Amino acid sequence: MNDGCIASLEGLRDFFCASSAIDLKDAAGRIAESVDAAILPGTDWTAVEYEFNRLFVGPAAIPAPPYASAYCESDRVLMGKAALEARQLYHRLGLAVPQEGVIPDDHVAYELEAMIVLKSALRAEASSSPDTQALHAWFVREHLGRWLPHFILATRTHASAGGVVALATDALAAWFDNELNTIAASHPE
Amino acid sequence: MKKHYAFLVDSERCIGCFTCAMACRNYYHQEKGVVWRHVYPLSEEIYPHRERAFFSLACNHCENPTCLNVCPVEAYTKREDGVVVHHQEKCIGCGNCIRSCPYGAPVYNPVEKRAEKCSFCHERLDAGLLPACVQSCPTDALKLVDLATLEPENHVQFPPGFPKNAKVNPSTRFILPKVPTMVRR
Amino acid sequence: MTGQATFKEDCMSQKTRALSRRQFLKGLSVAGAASLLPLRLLMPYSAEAATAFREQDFQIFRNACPRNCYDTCSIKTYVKDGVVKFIEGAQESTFTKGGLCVKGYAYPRRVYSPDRIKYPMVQDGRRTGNWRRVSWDEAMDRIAKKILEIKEKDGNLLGMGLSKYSGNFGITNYGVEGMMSSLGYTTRFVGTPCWPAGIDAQNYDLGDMWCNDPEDMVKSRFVIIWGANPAWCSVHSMKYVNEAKRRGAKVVVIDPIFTQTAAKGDVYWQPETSSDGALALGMARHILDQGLVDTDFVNTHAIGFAEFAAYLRENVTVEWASQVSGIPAVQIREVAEEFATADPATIWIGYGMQRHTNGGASVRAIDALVAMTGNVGKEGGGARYGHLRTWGFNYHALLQKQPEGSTGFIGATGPKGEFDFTKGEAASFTDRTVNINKTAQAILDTKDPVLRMLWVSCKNPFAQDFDRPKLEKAFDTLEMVVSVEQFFTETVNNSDIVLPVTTLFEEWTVNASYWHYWVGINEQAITPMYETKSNIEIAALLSRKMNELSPGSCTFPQDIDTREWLEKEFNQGMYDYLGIKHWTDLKNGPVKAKLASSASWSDMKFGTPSGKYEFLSELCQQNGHDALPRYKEGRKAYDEFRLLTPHTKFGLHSQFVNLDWMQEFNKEPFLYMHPDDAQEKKIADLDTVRVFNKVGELKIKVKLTSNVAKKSLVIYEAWFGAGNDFNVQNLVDDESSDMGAYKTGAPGVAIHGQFANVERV
Repeated sequence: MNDGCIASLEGLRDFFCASSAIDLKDAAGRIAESVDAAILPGTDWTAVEYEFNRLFVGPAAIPAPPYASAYCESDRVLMGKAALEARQLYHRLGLAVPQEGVIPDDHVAYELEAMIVLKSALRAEASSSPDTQALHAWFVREHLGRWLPHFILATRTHASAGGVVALATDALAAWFDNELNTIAASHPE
Repeated sequence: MKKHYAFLVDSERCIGCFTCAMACRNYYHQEKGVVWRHVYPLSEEIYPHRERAFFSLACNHCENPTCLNVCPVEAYTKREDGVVVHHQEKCIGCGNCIRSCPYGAPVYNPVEKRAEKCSFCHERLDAGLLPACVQSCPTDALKLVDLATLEPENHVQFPPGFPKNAKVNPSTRFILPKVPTMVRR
Repeated sequence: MTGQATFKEDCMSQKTRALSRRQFLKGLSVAGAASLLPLRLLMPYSAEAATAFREQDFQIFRNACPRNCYDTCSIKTYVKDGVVKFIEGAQESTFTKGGLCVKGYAYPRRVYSPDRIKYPMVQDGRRTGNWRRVSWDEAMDRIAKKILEIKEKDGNLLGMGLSKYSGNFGITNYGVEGMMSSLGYTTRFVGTPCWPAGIDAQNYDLGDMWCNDPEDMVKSRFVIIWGANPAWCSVHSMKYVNEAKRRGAKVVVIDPIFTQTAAKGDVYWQPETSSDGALALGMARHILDQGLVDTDFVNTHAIGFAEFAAYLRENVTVEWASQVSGIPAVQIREVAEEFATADPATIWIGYGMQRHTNGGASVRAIDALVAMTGNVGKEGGGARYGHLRTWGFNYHALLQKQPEGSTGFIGATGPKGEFDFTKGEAASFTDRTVNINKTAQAILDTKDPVLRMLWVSCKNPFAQDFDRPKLEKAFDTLEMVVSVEQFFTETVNNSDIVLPVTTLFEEWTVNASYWHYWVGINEQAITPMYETKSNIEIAALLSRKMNELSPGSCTFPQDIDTREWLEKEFNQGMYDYLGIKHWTDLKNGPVKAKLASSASWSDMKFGTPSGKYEFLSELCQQNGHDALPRYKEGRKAYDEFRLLTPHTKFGLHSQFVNLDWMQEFNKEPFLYMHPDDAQEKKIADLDTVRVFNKVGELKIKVKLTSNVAKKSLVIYEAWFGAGNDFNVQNLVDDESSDMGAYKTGAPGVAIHGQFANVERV
């Protein structure tokens, strides 16, 4: 649980909620730095923006919706149980999505931010409280574990190979694998 | 007197509008590909006009349900009022019920990895409400009846097009569709 | 964050409550003995009661389906944790009666589909698929600058056009027209593809389109459903037809296709397509011969019957009607007599029936049949088509003033539409009007100034407008296209900017029906998701930006509360008509208008120039048609097969069919053709075929059935969504129907007056 991990998570959070080419470039840069990867010079960031929207935003049907419910719920419908689960988690952390219900609580960016909060809490607590540890383990294994791999697969299937989105997805996958292993080591089920 | 709930499928009133099928989906939000209530068009041997007569079918809440009999974990119970309830939390997804039901009522949910089927909206029945499908029908073609008090009229248990399986004794009853006088040019 | 500790406690205590309930349940088998006691107060608490549905677990809202449908269902919406969980029909409305339809029940899927359009976006190059997100401010900035540029270039705003129709009939959505007016004088696509010929016909005959309360059909002794398919398009009406039948009425269904409705009637007639006028006149001739005319009605409450009777005697015979329509003479005579002697008898005139070059004339002939048998103004009787009696709102959203100094079109007419309630005032400038039914041609032809910009809302031109190949060419001449949408349609694909709009659950509005007499409000059940906005909120935003860039350039109010604007639509007239004190009374459920009689025209005071039913209408003649309901031939075939493209039960035009919930039951489109024709062309069931004509072509799978007449091809119009380029508009041209210009501003379209050929692929 080091600064590099947090920086990577922050970069990923900012990447997946980016709304412009500039946001994408900034976030991607930080992700690349935190995982020691390189972004090709001369990257057309507008093209990255087009791909990002095609995959995650719209206006056409999106093949990789960045919401847990799309993968956990009946029929890809949003605001399902997974969204309310995420909401309850945020509440337990003393946080909430502004204007609950307007943007589904289980958007990957919100979940990554919650992860940052959890990990910071774990690091801060002198003797990590079992409550925080349990919450963290549950979040990674039971919640993220149910959907993140599917989201990563969907993204990899439709993103262009070697592109910026692929790079971000790889970073997300690598982080998640690592997180799962860390928990397995300290919380054998 | 003990109630014996059943579906009455009046194929004469039925206009094949699929409202019942979608009302079920609206209420339960089933997984893609998982359908609890189908609206099947009758073949032209049975009704001579293609896609103009239908049977709306879900679970037949049989008297002697195969699903219950083959379930290894007692995930099915038959209530006193005839409703065969599937307890999803107990289901282990072994597939026995799916393979053995002569009417294809239990279906496999590939996400939750378990079977599921129509359970007669029993939580609505217990609140004095109609099942979602029955309430939705615009022509009263799909009705909730009590076999214990149902007047013997023109309904049948095994109409042509509905597999005859007396052993399980399905509770669903049917009224057959009519054809109009045809004046073609 | 306040309340964090208590929330945590709440979560935990909820858990413990649940735990203890389970323990309690487990203990029930031990406590079973309690059932033996003669208890007075406590009731058995079973496991079943614990899981029973509880309405109090939900927040309940009232909504109304704003689609272009006879039934305009009243909806009861169940919300939990701010999420729409499920919906059902309102029980208070005897028409909706607790149930919706296959489309309505799919509404929750629309709100929470991951494919919903969420943000304003800009496409760099139409049809490229290269979209960027922009803020609302930037979107409005681009649009406002374009509008100002047009004003600068042309000296007026006639270069901006509005394409809008029936996608959303919530009354406040007329704010889109209001927005256009608030910008200046613009180009409006007027008219209606739907029902204009029939509207004009009913206006010539009766002085208004005004049908009986459909719920009174139960009183009818003879029902003819003529070119309408309520089993698919007005499912809630079928119960009244069924009840009439149960009470002993005879139901005759007349349609070139053996529809689902036809399968539920007593007798089915399959006439030659568009021969309906001849058929009605043949029946009229026989009724005349048999002395079954209601002389009291034709003498006291009508004019021109003598001339009509003379026309029948000189020009119409049952044999002729039989020859033109294909219906045997003996049948024509039998049904005519039964219709004329049944009391009351009624005819439901369908919109499909009048989508022909002779549609208006056919409706006039059918009206005459109802009138001459004395069935006008009778409960259970009438020539049923539609009405607008419950639409007497203020149209506050619609009525906006042009900015001072605006210049526009100088010409005879202003914009009109069948839903125009503005009672047009005389003005020196007006909007420029073009025919909505010839959208493609209008965009190409309009000059001085040309059309530079199009605002599209509540419409999907690329799915619904005719001659789709021409439409593509036309759109390519436009400098900017703005679409307001919920899902990615072909129109969005051909746009530069898309603005995300709210669903019915995310705005306040009020809805009426053009068939039944119930009115329901539509409450905002959930906060608008993502950055969606309702049409009037969009108008307010545009106004703010316009005035920021050029003060005074837009009069639309800049701050909108959709609930306030809903309130502004009501007036005392509507309150009296509905018998309510205030619109908030509608929060308890929909309300039906207080009708003096379920029959329209029961007072026999017709809206015609003579004040009577006009078998002979001078006004009709002045407008370029026949004074009498003379037979008018339909369109001549220009290809081997008649092509019919009626409505599917699985969608409402281009809405719903694209949802995956719907595709569970409606997987793909089909062409339906007669087995004999298929054999001739060596086509087998489920083959893929090519349907083609002078407009374009379509590849589709075929289903063989004798439901379809020989030498006709039937394809149900519907947009299938992503990855499917199915579109019947590749085969339908924009040929006009005879009537429609009088009351709706433009003639209709002969949607069923189309022809094509087919071959195996």
